[in-house]
This record gives sequence, C-alpha cells and structure tokens, in this order.
Amino acid sequence: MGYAPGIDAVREVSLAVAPGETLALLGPSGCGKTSLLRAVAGLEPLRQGSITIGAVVVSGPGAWVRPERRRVGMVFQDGALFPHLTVAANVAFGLRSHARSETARRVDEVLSLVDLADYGERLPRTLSGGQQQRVALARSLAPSPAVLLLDEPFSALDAALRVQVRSEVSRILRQIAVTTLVVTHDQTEAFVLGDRVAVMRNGRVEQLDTPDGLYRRPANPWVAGFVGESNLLTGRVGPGRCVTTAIGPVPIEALPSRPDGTRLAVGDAATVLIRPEQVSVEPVGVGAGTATVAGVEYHGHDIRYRLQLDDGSTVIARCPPEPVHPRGSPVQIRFQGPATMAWQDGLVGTLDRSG
Amino acid sequence: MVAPTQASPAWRTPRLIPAHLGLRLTCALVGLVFAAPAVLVLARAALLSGDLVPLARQLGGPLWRSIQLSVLVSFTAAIVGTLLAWLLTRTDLPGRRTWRVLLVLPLVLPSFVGAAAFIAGLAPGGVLHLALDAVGITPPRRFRGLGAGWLVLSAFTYPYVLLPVSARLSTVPQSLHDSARLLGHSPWSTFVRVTVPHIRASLAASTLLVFLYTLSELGAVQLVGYDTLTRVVYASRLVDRPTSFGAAALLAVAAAGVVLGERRLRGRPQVRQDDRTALVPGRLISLGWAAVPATAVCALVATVGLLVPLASLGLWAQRGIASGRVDLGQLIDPARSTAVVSVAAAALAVIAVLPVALASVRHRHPGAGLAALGVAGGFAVPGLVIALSLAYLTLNTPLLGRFYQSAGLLVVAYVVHFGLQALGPDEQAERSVPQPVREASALLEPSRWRRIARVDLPLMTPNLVAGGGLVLLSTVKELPATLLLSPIGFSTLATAIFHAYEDGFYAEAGVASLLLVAVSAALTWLLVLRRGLTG
Repeated sequence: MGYAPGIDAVREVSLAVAPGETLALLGPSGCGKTSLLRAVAGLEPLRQGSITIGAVVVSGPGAWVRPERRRVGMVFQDGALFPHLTVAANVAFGLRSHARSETARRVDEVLSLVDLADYGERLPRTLSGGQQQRVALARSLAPSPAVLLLDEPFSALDAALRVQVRSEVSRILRQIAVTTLVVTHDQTEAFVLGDRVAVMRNGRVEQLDTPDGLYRRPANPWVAGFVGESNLLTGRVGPGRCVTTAIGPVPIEALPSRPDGTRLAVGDAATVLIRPEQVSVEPVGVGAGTATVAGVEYHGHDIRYRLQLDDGSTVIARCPPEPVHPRGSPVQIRFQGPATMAWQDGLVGTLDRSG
Repeated sequence: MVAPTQASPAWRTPRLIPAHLGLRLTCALVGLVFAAPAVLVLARAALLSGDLVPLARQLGGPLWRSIQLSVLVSFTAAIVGTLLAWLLTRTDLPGRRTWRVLLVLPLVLPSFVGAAAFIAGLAPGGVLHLALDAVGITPPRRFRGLGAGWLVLSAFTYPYVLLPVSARLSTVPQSLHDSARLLGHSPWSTFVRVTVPHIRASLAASTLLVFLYTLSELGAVQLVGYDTLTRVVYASRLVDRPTSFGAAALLAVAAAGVVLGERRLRGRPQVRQDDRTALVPGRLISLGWAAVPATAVCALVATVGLLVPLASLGLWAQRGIASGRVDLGQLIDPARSTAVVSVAAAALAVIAVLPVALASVRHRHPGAGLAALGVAGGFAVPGLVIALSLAYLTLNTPLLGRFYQSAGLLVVAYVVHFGLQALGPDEQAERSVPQPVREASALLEPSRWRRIARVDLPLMTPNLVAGGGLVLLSTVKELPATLLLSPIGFSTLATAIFHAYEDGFYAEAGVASLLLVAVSAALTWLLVLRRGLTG
C-alpha cells in the first residue's frame, strides 16, 4: 500500500505496509495520524497523492473507490457498535452476500477468535468496554478485509483494562496476519502492536523503524524524547567516538553530522542521548561523576532516581531495586551500556523552529 | 432525620428512605384526583341505560371521522417532521440556521387560531382571498371539512415530530455511519439500517402524541365544521347528556389506548447515547441540485404554517385598529383573566405533583409509580372530557355545587390536565439537591424549615419555574375546557378569540390572536426552544 497525500493535515507522507504486517502510527494529538487513517478508509478526500490497496488505486488523481467498496475494516475509538443490534447481528452486518448458514458460521468463527463465542445474543450495552472493543474488532474482521484500521482502539478503556485488551488484540493480529494500520498516541501501545512504528509530527513522518530501532537509534532528539524517557546531556566530542559529559565519557555509534553533511570533529559541542537504564548509580568513591539523590520513586521492579549533578542539571536513572540510595545521599554516576546516539548541539532548537 | 454516616458511597446512589405515611397518603390522594375525571366519565357512560344501539349508531360516524382525521394528521406530521428534521440536521441545506427557527415557530399558534386565520384569510377581504383574486383564481367560498381540518392540524402539529426527531438525529455518532459504510453498505442502506432504528422510538412516540392531540382537538374542528367526537361532546353537553357522555367515554378509551401504545414503545430498549462516543463532527450530506426542491419544501411548510396565518391575522388586526372598530381596551379583561387563571394553575400544578416527584425520586416507592400514572392519565384524557366530568361532578354533588361556574373549577381542570408537564421538572428539581449536600446541610443547619429555605429551595427553583412555565404555556392556549367551564361573563383570550371568529368579527379576533401568539411565542422560546436549540 503506497501513500503520498498532500492534504493539509498530512504532508509528503510516503508509507508502504507489507502484506500481513502491522504498522503503528504514533504521534502527539493533532499530528495528522487519524486524518491519514480516515483517508485510507475513504472517509476523508485527498487533494494530492494516492492510496493503493493491493494493486488497486483507491484514492488518487482520477481514482476514487467508495468506502463501502474498499474492503477496509475499521475499529473506532468508541467501538461504534450498532446499539439496536445484538452482538451477532453487529458482526454479521458486513456479511451481506453470504448464505445464512455461512454467515452464522463466520460470526461464530470471529466471535471465538475474540473469545466472545457465547455473547452472540447479547446487546452491546450489556458488555464491558473491553468486550465491546473486541466485538468491534470481530465485526471489522468478519468480511475478511484487505486492510484493518484501528483508530486509538483502547483510548476509551480504563488503564487496567487497556493493558489486557491490548495484549489480546496483539495476539489476534499476529494469529490472523491481517495487514493493519493502527493509530495511537501511546508509545507502549504502538510498540506492543506494531511490527514497525511510524513516528509522526505536524503531518510528517519523523522516523519509521522497528520498536527496537526507534528506541535505540532515534533519528533526532525529538523522537528520542517522544519515544521513552530520555536524558539529553550536552558535552564535547572526545577522541575515540565518545562524547565527554558531566557524567564522564559516553560512547556513541557514529560521529554526528552537521546540516551540511560534514561530521563533527573532536572538541565540537554535541547532545548525547542517555536512557535512564543506562545510568549506573554507585556509592561514593568508585565511579567518575558526583551527584546527589534528589528524588526516589520506588516501583518494585526498579527504582527511578532523580539525580542532581554538581553543575545543577538533572539526570533520571532507573536502577535495580537494591541497594536503595536514600534521598539526599551523595552518589557517583556513570554511563553503562552499548554505544548510543549523539547530535550536533542545538539541533533540538532548530527542529522546534522548523515545526 | 438523615443521620450522617461514615464515608460511604452515598453520593453515588442516593440512599432510599422509606416514605412516611403522610407522603404515601398525599401521593395516593394526588393520584386519585388526577385519575378521577376519566374514571367518572367511564363510570357514567357504563351506567347509561340500555339504549346502546341508537347511541352506537349516533356515535359511529363521529368516531370514524375522529380516527380518520387523527390518522391522516399524524401520518402527515410524521412524514413532514422527519423529512424536515433530516434536512435541517444532516444536510447542507442553504440557510438551515434560519429554517431551524422558522420551521419550529408554527408550534406557537394554537390550532384553533390557525384554523381561524385560514377562514378569515379566505373570507372576502382576507389575505388569501385578495392574493387569489389578484392572480385570477376564484377563491373557494368555504374552508370546511376533512381537507381543511387536515391541512390546519398538520401545519401546526408537525413541529411535535420535528423537534424530538432532530434532537435524536443529531446524536447519531458519526462513527456509526462510517462503520456501516466500511462494512459495505451504501448511504441509503446505512440510512435504513442505522439511522432509522436510531430515531424509530422517538418518531413513533411523537407521532402518537400528534394522534392524541388531534383526537382531543375541539376549536379547529368546530371552526371548520368537521363532526368529530369532541364536537359531539361539545354540542350535546347541555341537550343530550347520554350522547355527550358516550362520546366522551369513547374519547377517553381511545386516548388510553394511544397512551398505552406509547408506553409500550418507550418500554422497548431505547438506543441510547454512548458517553464514550468520540465527538467527531458529523459531515453533512451534500444536497447538490436537490437543494432546490428541498428549499421549496421548507418554504411551502413555512408559508402554510406561519406566513399565511400571521399575514391573515395581521391584515385583519391592522384594518380593525386603523378603522377604530377594535377597542384595545376590550382585551384588557380577557388578558387579565388569562394571566390569573394560568399563573394560578401553573403554581398549583407544580405544588400538586411535588409529593409524587418526591416519592418517586427519593423513596422510589411503588405507590409513586401509580400516582404518576394517574397524573399521566389526566394529561392523556382530552381537556374537554375532564371539563365535562368536573362540571357533572360539581353539579351533582351537594357540597361541591357552589364550585360549578367558578374560576376555581377551571383552575382545577387545568391542573388535572397539565399536571404531567410539571412532574418531570419537579423530579428534576428533586434530583438537583444531591444527597451529600442534603447531609452537609443537616450537619450545619439544625432547623429543618430553614434548611429547606436556605438549601433545597434555591437549588430547586430553576426547575420548579420551568415546570410551572410549561403548564402556563399550555393553559394560555387551552380552549375546550375553558369553553366548558368558564363562569358566565368570564372570558379568557382563547375564548374571546374563539367566539369572535364564530361570530365573524375577524378584526377583533385578529388583534386578540396576535396577542395570544406573542405571549405563546415568548413562553415557547424561553421554555422549549432556547433549551432545545442550544442544548
């Protein structure tokens, strides 16, 4: 499926989703991800560019396939179940050309897929929010769509339920291997569901990569900050592919480049990405840097420290739950882990002005 | 006394306190009073001695005409109301904001005033007569019969369908339409399978309401000379009691049937608005060339329901005032009487149903449901039947005799007939004092009466006033009961208008009609439309 629209909400986006793949569109609200999804469904018109499903151009110059002919399934935020129809009738709604027995068989099949085999005769309002969302998924899958679209499918659920339904949906999507586009503003959701994730901002794709690639090799400081928690420390490029910072030398994968394409040299200012779990906190006397514990959040599986460096800046660290360093105690911190990413210093500001 | 307890989830579900005996008795009494007139008429009719065969022969025709007219009018109102609702909420009809106001306005014309406006308009010198003359068509000599009744009543009742159905239409979530389209359904199939089920209950209920309205209508059918049951009741009430009571009983039974049907419809699972529904602004359907016929339909309806009646009334009124034939001072007495009886009825109605509201909201005890049914019965039974019954009761009960031919009896009839309109707002008023607030005030203010004055009443007032306002609006426009029960020499605006038209004093009637329409429009705007359109 190719995509290159030019509508106001989305500009110069070009994405291709492989058959059977799940692609997540991740971005803050207003970044254009929902517009993109609705354009694929044919619910929004395109002014420029084209959308292709399989071999068919469904939107594009001189081409327009009506939504009901696109073989696109969509799950809405609110589920959008028809309140006057039973669960089974909802699921059967899109199965029009089938014989009655065939329809019943298919309804049973998809309802079992979402683990709601016994709920066919119920009315939607008697179901919990999570069950409603699963029925909505079953309904959109019943006609075997070429593409499945999920629009913030879990945002209406409360936190505990969201985690559970998310895992369930992830399992189903993998099981049936339907080509899927899912829109979300929740990073965990994008990572759990997406084989690949497109991070969007202001109508553009900032980066398209696997969850692992996004987390470990973000394209720019904005993506680094949007995907996961991050410390962005400034320092100077040192010898031997590292950046010297207030917490000591930090190894980097490659020397950052300038806007003109040349690489930074030793001594140039640079911003380096340090994930909280890459900060080791040790009792005074061993490591390289000196800091004070300014805040402790005990999470059980780990501890999140807010550390005040001697130069006044703050670093976030995630450490194993023991030992516990109490608030106010002096510690020494250093970088640990594989080489990370660095950019020319000041790039954050540049990006913000361009957006 | 409400004992404040430990932090309990009381604020979620108000704790139900068993109703004390006084409240139960009051509820029972209120229910009885409201149900009494209908029961009395039925009992009186059942006691009629054997002459049922000639009576049936006599009433068969009027019954058939009543049903014929009611069916025609309610179907027309359903179709016109739904079509307009759809045009105004789901399409890009040009000028739809203006149409939205204009097309609701016929609601403010009482149908007997509307009928009178058409008759006066077609009379020589009337606005329709002049217009038809000008284009060379011979104006019809009379405006009478089924066709006339159908036109007038349809033109002034379709807003009863338009308002609820458009409110309903605008709550269909966009995602439901989108889902249906993506599941392979065309726009038309989506309309039939998703939109229609969504509006079905409110369409059916409002159509039945129009049916009931037409069934109870007296003024318009009297003016256009169409012999329905109400007209039989009115015409024979003094000369032929058995016929009058027979017809009234038939009306009461028919009304009860309609109301039972409506309750069954409401009992069915209503498609409800989902709180979690994303507020995707619905995209309007583009009419294209169809905007021209759509605009023509709106213009036609507005012409029949608003422009012609107002122009007709206005022309006669202007003529009367200009020639000095109409003495505006003559309107002062009817206007004052209208104000006095209406305000009294409104206040009394709000107070009368308050115990029922209290019992059903705070105590939810089963008797409250029965009492509420009695109140609903008073609304369902035509005002004419209530009036007939009250007149009979006072005339034949020695102790109550002096109430016959008193304004007090008229107020009682209004309260019985329109009390239901105050019940909903009264219940809302009860709910507007949350349990935690009640408990907090009990801790801070030991005196029960001061508590009511300082906490309960200020919170309840807006809803109580709204309920009273709805009753006021209905009583100002009421005709049949007023005609039957007004003391000699006592006339309200409605009866003054009605008699003036019957006697052909169009100019005088025009002025009074415009005054009534203005009052009704102001009340309707304040109480119904402002909430409905902004909410």
